[in-house]
Amino acid sequence: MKITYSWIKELLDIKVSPQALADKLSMAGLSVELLEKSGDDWVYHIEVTSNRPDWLSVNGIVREIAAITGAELRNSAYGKGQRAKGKKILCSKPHALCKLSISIEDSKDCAFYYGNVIAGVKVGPSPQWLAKRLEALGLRSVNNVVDITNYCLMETGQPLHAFDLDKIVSQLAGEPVNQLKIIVRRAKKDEKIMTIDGVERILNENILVIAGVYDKTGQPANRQTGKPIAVAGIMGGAGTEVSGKTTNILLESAYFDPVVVRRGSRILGVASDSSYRFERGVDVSTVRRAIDRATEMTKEIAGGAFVCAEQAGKAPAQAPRKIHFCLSEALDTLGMEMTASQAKNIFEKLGFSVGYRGGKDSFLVSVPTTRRDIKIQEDLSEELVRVWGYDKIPLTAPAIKPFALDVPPVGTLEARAKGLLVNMGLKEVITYSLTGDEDYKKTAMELGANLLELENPLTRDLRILRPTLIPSLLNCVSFNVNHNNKDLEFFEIARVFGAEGTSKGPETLSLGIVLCGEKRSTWQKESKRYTLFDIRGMIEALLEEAKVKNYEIKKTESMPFAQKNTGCEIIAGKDTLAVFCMVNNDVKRAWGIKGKEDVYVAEVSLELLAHRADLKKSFSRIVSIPSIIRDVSVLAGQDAPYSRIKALIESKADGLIRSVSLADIYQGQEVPAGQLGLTITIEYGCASKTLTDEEVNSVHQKVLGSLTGELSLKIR
Amino acid sequence: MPIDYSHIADEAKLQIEAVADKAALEELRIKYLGRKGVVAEFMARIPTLPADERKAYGSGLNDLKNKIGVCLAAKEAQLAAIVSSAPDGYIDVTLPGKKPLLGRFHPLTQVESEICDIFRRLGFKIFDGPEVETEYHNFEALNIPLEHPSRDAFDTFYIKLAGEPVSRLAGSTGKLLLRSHTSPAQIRAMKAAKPPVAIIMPGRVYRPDSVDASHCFMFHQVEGIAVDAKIRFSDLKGILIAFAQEMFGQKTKLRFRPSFFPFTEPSAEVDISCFLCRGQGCSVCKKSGWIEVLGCGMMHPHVLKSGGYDPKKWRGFAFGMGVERIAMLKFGINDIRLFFENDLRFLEQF
Repeated sequence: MKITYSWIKELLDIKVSPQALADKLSMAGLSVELLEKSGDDWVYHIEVTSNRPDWLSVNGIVREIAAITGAELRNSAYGKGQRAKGKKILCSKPHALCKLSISIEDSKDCAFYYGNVIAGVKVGPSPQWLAKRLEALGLRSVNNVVDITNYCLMETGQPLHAFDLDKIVSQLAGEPVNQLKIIVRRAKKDEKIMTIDGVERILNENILVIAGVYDKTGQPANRQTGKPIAVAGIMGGAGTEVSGKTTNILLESAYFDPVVVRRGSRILGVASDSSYRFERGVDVSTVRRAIDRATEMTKEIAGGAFVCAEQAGKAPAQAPRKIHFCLSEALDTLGMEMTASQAKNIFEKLGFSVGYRGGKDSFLVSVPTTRRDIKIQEDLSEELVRVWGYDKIPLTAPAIKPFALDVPPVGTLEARAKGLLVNMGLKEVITYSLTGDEDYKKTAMELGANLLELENPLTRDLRILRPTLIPSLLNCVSFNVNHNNKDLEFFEIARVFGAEGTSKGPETLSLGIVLCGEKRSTWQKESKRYTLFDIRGMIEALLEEAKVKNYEIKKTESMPFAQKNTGCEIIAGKDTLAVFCMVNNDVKRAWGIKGKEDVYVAEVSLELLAHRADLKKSFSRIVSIPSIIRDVSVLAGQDAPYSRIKALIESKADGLIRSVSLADIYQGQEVPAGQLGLTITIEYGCASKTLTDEEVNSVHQKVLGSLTGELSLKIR
Repeated sequence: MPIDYSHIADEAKLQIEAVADKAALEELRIKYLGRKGVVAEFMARIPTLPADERKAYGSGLNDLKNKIGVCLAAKEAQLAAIVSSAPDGYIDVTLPGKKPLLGRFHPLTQVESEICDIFRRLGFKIFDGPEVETEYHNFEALNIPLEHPSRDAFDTFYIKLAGEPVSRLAGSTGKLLLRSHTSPAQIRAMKAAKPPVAIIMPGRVYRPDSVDASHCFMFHQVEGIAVDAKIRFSDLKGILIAFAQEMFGQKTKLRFRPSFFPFTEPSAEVDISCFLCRGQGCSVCKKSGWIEVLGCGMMHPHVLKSGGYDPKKWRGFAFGMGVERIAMLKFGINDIRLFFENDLRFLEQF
C-alpha cells in the first residue's frame, strides 16, 4: 500500500515531519518499507499485514495515524461523499437506461451488489491533481472515469468498477437498450472472457462472474445466464471497458466473498488491487459510501447525469463485536503496568467503545466493523501494547524449569557423526533436497516406486524429493572440478525421502561422503590419492564410534554408478547400513567430471545405524601388561581374502590376541597375478599375566598351522 | 671422610661427549647410572660406613649422579637434533609447515549450532520435526485457516502421492507438503513433552521462490517456544536480548515492532541495532541503524490447544529466525546461492 504525505496532510492536521511519521507508522505496525521523495511530496511504501485490510485505504491509514498521534481529522474538499439519491432521474429527459435489474445467484458468493447508472459522461483525461495523485501511488492515469474508480478504491479501500453501459448491450445484441439486467453468478466450465489486460481467460465453476443480459422486446437473449462481462472482484472485461467513446456508464460496488475471490484469483493467476482487497475482506459499511462518492466525483469531473441506483441483496446489519477484556490478565501476560483509564483511552482512540463491567479491571469492548481482526482478549492486548509502545515492556528473565524431552538416538548420532567427519578433514556441504530426473539419469539410476514428487514444482529439475544424497554430491564434485579444484573431500547429512527399506516414515536421515583426487598435503609430493580404502575407513571409523561390531562388508552390484568390482555394502542383520564404491567413468562423464581423478562415494543410513549404535562412552582399563608382536607374511587371494585370514587368526588364538592388523601389502614379481602379498601383525597378550615366549610360540604355531592347513596359504 | 668423586665425573663427561650415537650413549648410561652401574656400586657401600660419615658420603654421590645425568641429557638433546636435521646440518626454516588437512562445518551449520547452543545454555532443549509435514500441522494447527490470505506468506510445495506412503506419517490427515516454516514442529514438540517446556527447533524449510541473490526455495530456520503458567512477554524480551547480545555482541540493542503472525498474539518483529555501523547507518541496515532478524510473540491460544496444552492454564512465547539471513549478516555474504553451490573456496573460509 502506498500513500503520500500530502494526501495525509489534506485529511489530517499533523505536525510531524515525513521521516518522523514514517518511524511512528513502523512502530505502530504499519511497516514503512520505503519513504520515497517524489517532487515536492513523499511516498510511503507500507507493508500491510494480512490481518489489517482496513489499512488498505487512505482513510484507514489516516484513521490509524489520528489514533497514534492524536491529530485531528480535517474536513477535506472530498471529505465525506454525499449520499447519491437513487431511482431518481436527474437528467433533463427521461432515460431508457433507468431500467436496470440486478440478480445474485447465490448470496454466499455476493452478499449485496450496488449499481449506479450515470448517463452522458464525457470521458477524457483526468484533471491534473487526480492524475498526479494516482501516479504518485504507482497507478497509471487512464481516463477520468477509470481514474475516479481507482481514486475511490485507494481512498476508501472499496474496489469499484465502471462498465461502458452501451457495450454491455451491444455485446449481446447490437441494438438500442431499453432494459438491462446484471447477473452475479458462477462461471460455466470453459466459458471465456477477454479481460482488460487483453488476455483471454478460460473460466470454470469456481470463478464468480458478472454477466450482462440484454432483453430486446419480445426476444429474450439468453436471459437466464447472460454473458460474462467481468470476473467478479478480480478484473473487468475488455468488451465493456470505458473508452473515449463511452457516454453511459454503470458503476459497480459490491461485497464479494473473500474465499471465492481468492480462489478465482489463484486459478486465473491474476491478482489486482481489487482482488487483493476482496480476499482480505472489505468493510460492509463502506460499500455504499464508496459508490456514492464515486458517483458524485464522476458527475463533478466527467459531467453526466446520475440516472438510477439499483441494488440486489442487502448489506447485513453488522453489530459491533463485543469482547470481554480482563485488564489485569492482559498486563500480567505482557509483564507491564498501565492504569484502567490509560487502557480505556487507547481503546477509544482506536474507535472502540469501552464499558466497565463490575470493577475497573473488567472491560466490555465494542469493536467497529472495520476491525474484523479483533476477536479475543489477546487481540485487544496487542492493540494496547501496539499503541502504548513495545519498548515500554520491561526485560525480565524467565525461570526456565527442567523438563523431560526425549532425544531420539538418531539426533545424538547425527551430532557425533558430523564432528567425527570434520575431524577426518571432510568439508560439510549443504545441497538441495529437490532434484530432477536428469540427476538420476546422469547417475545411471532408476527411480524407485516409493518416490515422493512435488505437485507444484518450480521447475522439472526440482520435482523429486531425493531418495539418495549421491547425485547431489556428484554435482558438488562436478562444480568444483570445473572450477579447477580437483582434490575434494565432502560430506552431507540430510533427510532423504521415500527411500527403499525404511519404515520410519517418508523421510530418514542419511550421510553421504564423496572423495575425489588426492588428499592434499602442503608438500605436494606427499599428497596421496584417495582410494576405496579411505572411504571405507571413514565409514568403519563411524561404525567404531557407534560401537557397532557385528557387521559384514560384502561386494554388491546394487550401485549402477559403481566401477566394476568396487561396489560394497555393509550389512548388519537384515539392514544395509551403508554402501560405497568408486564411481565409473560413464557416470563421471555424464556429470562433466573431467580429468583422471578417481571419485569415491558412500552413503550411510544414520537412521538404521542409530538403532544399533551405542553412543555411551565408557572407560576400559588400560592394560599395562606388555604384549608380544609376531608378523606373518602370506599370499592372499580370491579364496582366502584378508577378512577370512583375520577371522581365522582371531578364532585360533585361544583368546590370547590383542589385535590383528595389516602391516603391509606388496605386489611384486614374486607375487603371482590374482594374489596379494600381505604382512599381518599379530599382537599377543593376556589381561592377567605376561605371556612367556613359550606360550606365545605355541599359540603362534597353532595360528600358522591353521593358515596353512585350513586356508592352504603359503607362509613366506 | 668425604670422598672426592670429581675424577669419576670428569671421566664420565669425556666419555659421554665422545659418543656419536644413541646406542653408545645408552651403554654409558647403564655403565654409570644403571642398576649395577658405578654410582649404584658406591651406593651399596653406604650401610657399611660409620653412621656419622654416611650423610657426607651420600650427598657427594648424589652430586655425582646429577652431574652425569646433566651430561647425558645434554648429549641426548644434541643427538636428537642431528637426527632430525639435514645430513649437512643445514635446515631451511623458511620451508612451509606441513599443515594438516582441516575439515569444516558448513557455515550454515556453524551459525545454526551457535544459535542452538546459546539457547541450550538458557535452558532450552532441541527438537527435530519432519520436513515432510501434513497440511494440518503446517497451517490449521497454527491458526492459518484454509483459503485465507494469511497463507500468502507461506507459499508451499505440495507432495503428489502415487498412493501408499501417506499413512506412514504420524497424525497424517489430508495433504502432505514440505514444511514452509519450522513452526509445525511447535505442535509436535508440545505433544512430545509436558509443560512447562522450553524448546528449540532448527531445520530446513521450503517455499516455491525462484532462486536469486536473496531468495531460495530451500532455507533454514530456528524456531523456539517456552511455555509456563505465568510466562510473560517481558520474559520473551529478556530471553531475546540475552540471545542477541551473545550472538551479535554485548552492546546489541533490540527494537520490537508490532507485526502479525497468525500463530502469535501479540506479535512483534525484532530488529537488532546494526552491528556493522553501530547505528550510524550503512548499506546493510539501509541507513536505518536497525536490522530485522526475527519474529516473535505470545503463542496464540489456538496453537497451545493444537499442541494439547490448555490455554487457560498455560501461556507461551514463540520466536523464529532465518539462519541464512543471520549467516549473511555475520559473515558479510551478499548472495544466498553461495551457501548451496558448495564451492571449496567458499567452504574453506569458515
